[in-house]
Amino acid sequence: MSNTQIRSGIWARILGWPLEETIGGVALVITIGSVLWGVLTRYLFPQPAAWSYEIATIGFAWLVFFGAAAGVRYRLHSDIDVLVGSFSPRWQYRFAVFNFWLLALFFGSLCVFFIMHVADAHKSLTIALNLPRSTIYVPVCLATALMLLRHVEAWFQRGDSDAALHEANIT
Amino acid sequence: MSSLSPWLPSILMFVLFAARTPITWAMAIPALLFFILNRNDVPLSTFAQEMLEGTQSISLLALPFFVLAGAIMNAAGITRRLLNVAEVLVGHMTGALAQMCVVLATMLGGLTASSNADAAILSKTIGLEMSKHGYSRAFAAVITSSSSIIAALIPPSIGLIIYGYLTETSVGRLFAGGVVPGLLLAAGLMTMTYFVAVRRGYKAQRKVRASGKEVRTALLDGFWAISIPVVILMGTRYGIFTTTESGAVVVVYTLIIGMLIYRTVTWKTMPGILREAVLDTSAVMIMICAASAFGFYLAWEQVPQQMAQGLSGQWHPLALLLTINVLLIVIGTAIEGSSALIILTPILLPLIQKAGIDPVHFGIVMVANLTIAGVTPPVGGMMYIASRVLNVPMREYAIEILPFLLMMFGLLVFLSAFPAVTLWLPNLLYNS
Repeated sequence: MSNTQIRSGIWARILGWPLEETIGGVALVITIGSVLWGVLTRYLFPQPAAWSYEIATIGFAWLVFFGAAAGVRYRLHSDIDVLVGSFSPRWQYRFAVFNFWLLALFFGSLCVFFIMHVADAHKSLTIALNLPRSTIYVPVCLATALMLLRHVEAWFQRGDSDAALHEANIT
Repeated sequence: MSSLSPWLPSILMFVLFAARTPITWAMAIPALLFFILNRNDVPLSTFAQEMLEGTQSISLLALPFFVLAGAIMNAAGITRRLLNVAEVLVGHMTGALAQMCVVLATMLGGLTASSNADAAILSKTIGLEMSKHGYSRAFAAVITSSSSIIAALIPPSIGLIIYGYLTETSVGRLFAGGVVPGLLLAAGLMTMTYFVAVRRGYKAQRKVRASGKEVRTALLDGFWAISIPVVILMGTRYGIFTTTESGAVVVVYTLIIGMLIYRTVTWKTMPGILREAVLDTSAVMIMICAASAFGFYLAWEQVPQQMAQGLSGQWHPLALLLTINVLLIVIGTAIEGSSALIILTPILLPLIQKAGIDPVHFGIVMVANLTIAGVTPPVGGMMYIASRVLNVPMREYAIEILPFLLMMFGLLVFLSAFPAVTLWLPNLLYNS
């Protein structure tokens, strides 16, 4: 096996690993756990845990953005195909190409905006835990970068047929 | 700035919808355009902040919890137990399997929180069973998809949580407001089913009514699942926990039921359940995030207020509500329910506020309407799910659903005309 084949095999394994869902799942468990802890401490202790909702909303943000990146990967984001669906396959392909570039540009911009936001928010602290707000935004940056990566990946793995293009919902 | 500029992002959004850009990004891209055009007035990083806005909402935190609870209950095999309950309750009626489908949907509505999830469960279980027992496949698809609408009204409901967030309305009141309309819809579907079943000779499942002992055994077996809406309503009513916290409590409750009582959920099945919950939650939530950014533009340019000024002054509240109903049905056939709810609520809210319509009343009518649109041809999520599972051509489905649609439109008019039907329970629970 050549070095190129080994390298491409490693990359395929890395890209194939369900990173987005794993992070999203862990974030969901943390979110639930912290809300429950907030309820419990309200009844069990004189001082309820003030940080529980802060952790929950941080976990929620990660869950949503990493889950959305998985949505890009598995083409789960719904669209309205009433008009374009009635066009010829050639025109449908043109719309797909238009949407590919539009979304690639958008995901790239979104990532840049979040990087700007990380820089802006680093010095400001969260209310209960005094964490830099960038702890919320850095993983979200990573999630938006993953959206771009998965979007490009989905395009190159779409296959050649028109049906694959439609099924892939790569738009 | 030209007079067209305030409308430019809105126009672009509809162009992108038409160009088959995914709905989420078709809202986010025009919002980004607005921030770029107005970068001298609004810092560009506000766009990122607005995209994150929805995830910082305490009321929306309930959404992943109820989605996860639904996924756990589904994996716990609760459908079979609830089917037994439905069988002993209505198995003796004409068209028993169809009647059982409606009763099952009413009970499932309190667990899954999602009409699409219910449509999939019902068509794969009782829908296939109906076709084996001589029911027409089209009728089976119609009754399974129509019954799924009930899930949007019986608490917990994802649509009502989203509406509550978008309009800053109490989710507890919305949950209570959905109960009576949900039960009315169930009664309407059962009545229609009865007439169809008598005409076509669809049989009962059992010759005689179930005995008291049979009913008791089935109810005890399904008790844990059936009690979930009661846990939510009572827990929030008596201030034991908030609506959001009730979601987390219900997750633990369903885990205990699945792992310790029914013993059908294991640690091994949990990653799959979590994955399903993450994907389902984020698909809706990222849309809300995009809508938050788009909502910033709408608020900045006062687009809904301009529309309200142009419209509501000349309208009677009922006439306005009925017109909105027609509009929603038309839009709902082209856009998926949650998406339509997220896009249209900020636009319609100033209109209904100006007309003096109660936001809880409007929320129930709107969510019911957009969910009904999900079974209305030519485009409808629940229609697609049920038709695909039961292999029904759209033309047959469209003919079969007509009488059911007429009944549901009648119910919408009734709910619109009589707000007390919706508001009775929330007023009773939360105003006392």
